[in-house]
Amino acid sequence: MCATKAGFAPFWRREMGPSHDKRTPMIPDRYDYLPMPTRPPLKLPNGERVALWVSPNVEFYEYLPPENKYRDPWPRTPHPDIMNYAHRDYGNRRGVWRCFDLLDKYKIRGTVSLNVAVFDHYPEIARAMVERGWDYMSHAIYNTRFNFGMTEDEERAQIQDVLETVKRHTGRIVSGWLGPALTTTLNTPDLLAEADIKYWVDYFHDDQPFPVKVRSGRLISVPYSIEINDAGVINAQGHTAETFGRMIRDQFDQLYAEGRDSARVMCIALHPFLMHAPSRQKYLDEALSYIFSHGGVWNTTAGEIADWYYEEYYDAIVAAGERGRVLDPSLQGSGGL
Amino acid sequence: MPGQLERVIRPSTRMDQKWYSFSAFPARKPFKWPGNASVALWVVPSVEFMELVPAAGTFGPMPSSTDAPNVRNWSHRDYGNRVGIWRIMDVLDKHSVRATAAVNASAAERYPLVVEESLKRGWEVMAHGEFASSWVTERLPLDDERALIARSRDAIARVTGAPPAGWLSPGLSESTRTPGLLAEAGFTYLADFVNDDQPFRMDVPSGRLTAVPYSIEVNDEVVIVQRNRTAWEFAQTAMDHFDAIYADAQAAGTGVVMCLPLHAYLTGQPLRIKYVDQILTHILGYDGVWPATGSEIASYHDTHC
Repeated sequence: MCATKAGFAPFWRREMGPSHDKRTPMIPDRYDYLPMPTRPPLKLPNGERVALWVSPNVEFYEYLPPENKYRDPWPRTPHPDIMNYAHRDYGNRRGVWRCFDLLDKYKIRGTVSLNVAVFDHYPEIARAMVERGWDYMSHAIYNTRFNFGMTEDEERAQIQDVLETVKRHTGRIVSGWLGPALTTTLNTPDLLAEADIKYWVDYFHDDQPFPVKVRSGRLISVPYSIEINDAGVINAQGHTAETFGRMIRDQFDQLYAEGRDSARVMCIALHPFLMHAPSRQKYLDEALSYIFSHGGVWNTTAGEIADWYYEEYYDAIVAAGERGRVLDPSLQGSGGL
Repeated sequence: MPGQLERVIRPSTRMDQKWYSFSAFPARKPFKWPGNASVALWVVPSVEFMELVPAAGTFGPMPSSTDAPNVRNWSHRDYGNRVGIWRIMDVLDKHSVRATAAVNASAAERYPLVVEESLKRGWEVMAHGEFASSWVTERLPLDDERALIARSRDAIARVTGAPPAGWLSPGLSESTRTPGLLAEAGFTYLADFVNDDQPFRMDVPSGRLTAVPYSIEVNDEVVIVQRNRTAWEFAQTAMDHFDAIYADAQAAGTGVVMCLPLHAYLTGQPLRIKYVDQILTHILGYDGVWPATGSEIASYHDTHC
């Protein structure tokens, strides 16, 4: 039996009519099938078991976003939806400052999943991240503007805008990319590689980084998380913060056990308006305390994980993947994504 | 279409469709599973693959188009094949349980290693349609449905060396024709109907088709994704379900079936796998539990009941 539900796909069913015009299905061929048991073991820089990165989503959702025929950013009411707008605005006015305090406590440098317009609206947030040596992962410009339906040129321009904006505010280059509201086009990975962006996180297919096939350059996926993600767990599925804290610990325990033989990557994806709301933060604090009571945890950023993987494993895994291909040629990707 | 006041009772079966007859649990002849067991447990991991953009006219659970590709849900599902199914195999190995894997034809063809490893463990493989993104429904023309069933069967046959005995539809979806087409295609048992705790015979014009119940209640996807419960609540549901049917079976002196559906992309995730272990530890701690495959359950029931 299979079903998707609001928890994982809240807006899709409503907004997306059948617009596929092809008679045959589209099946991606962007990564090799090299399942976990067939991979060479991965070793982290100091032999740690788990590379942990924490990704606060620092976002800006527009009051009156432009229309997108594929998805309504505010389906609750005719726009503006000030209830949901303000709920998210809490993140920048209050939540992210608690986030800085908590992550500072554990000496975590966040890999911010950043709508770059936040820096233009609130340069003080950029300054706070620069002071802390955070890493920057693009979450495009505004979370209410989707990549669905973008042409290649439009997406290329968006990527350049993002790179330029972050460079201007921080002096740093964006290390990776997560689609705004998890939206992508079929061209996204090719354009990211073309722009020398190191990693892409819109694939939820693995617990380790993995090469992504692109038409030029190189790209890898780094595991972000659709499961250890407060937007899904708390906002969409309605679980409590206590439950989220327990999920973080359960996730860590399993990856930590497996990491003895081959390193695992764990991401905690946060939204300050959610997990740093007053009623919730302590459960995150407890979960982080639990994690850091263990040795063998690399407290790092997604950019550092990507650098390590490219340096140590990219070529070997590409070679292993090519040897390990057991696909029926008739089921090979039909192009595109 | 029937009139508002019209009854639609088929006299011989007392149902409103032709595929099986009514039967009240207390009226059935008691029986026991092998070894005098009360509960036959079958574990059904789903091994699934989705089209990123299904063909025009497809009915399925995951809206996605070339302009708005649903990479998120598509890649989440593929986690099962790369990472999740191996955790499930480890847990089942620990408990010496042979599963009945429901494998999409596309997954069998793309990921033969998963099928090979299943067979090494003495697992059974059942057909599970072609893609998790394309359901069987009444809208599918007869010839297309027949062809989809044949492709699903043949893909499993190619990879396992023998045609599959069992079928589970993607999305528990059927047309009004499906059971007859399955029997025609050589299937001998069907998991689609979640209406009982015991197997029963389907009424098919040719061949033989036994319904072996799958579960919508003890189902990780229903509990975790649709009902928004946690993995530990799923475990509690499974243990409570077992406790109740075990007691029923003992009281009635008969045998029942428990299905444990697992989706590799869900319960195979790091945060959930230990609760699968917890469920099996609980169930297998009791005497009178027969861990079996779908075929074993169907064959035994056909012979003895």
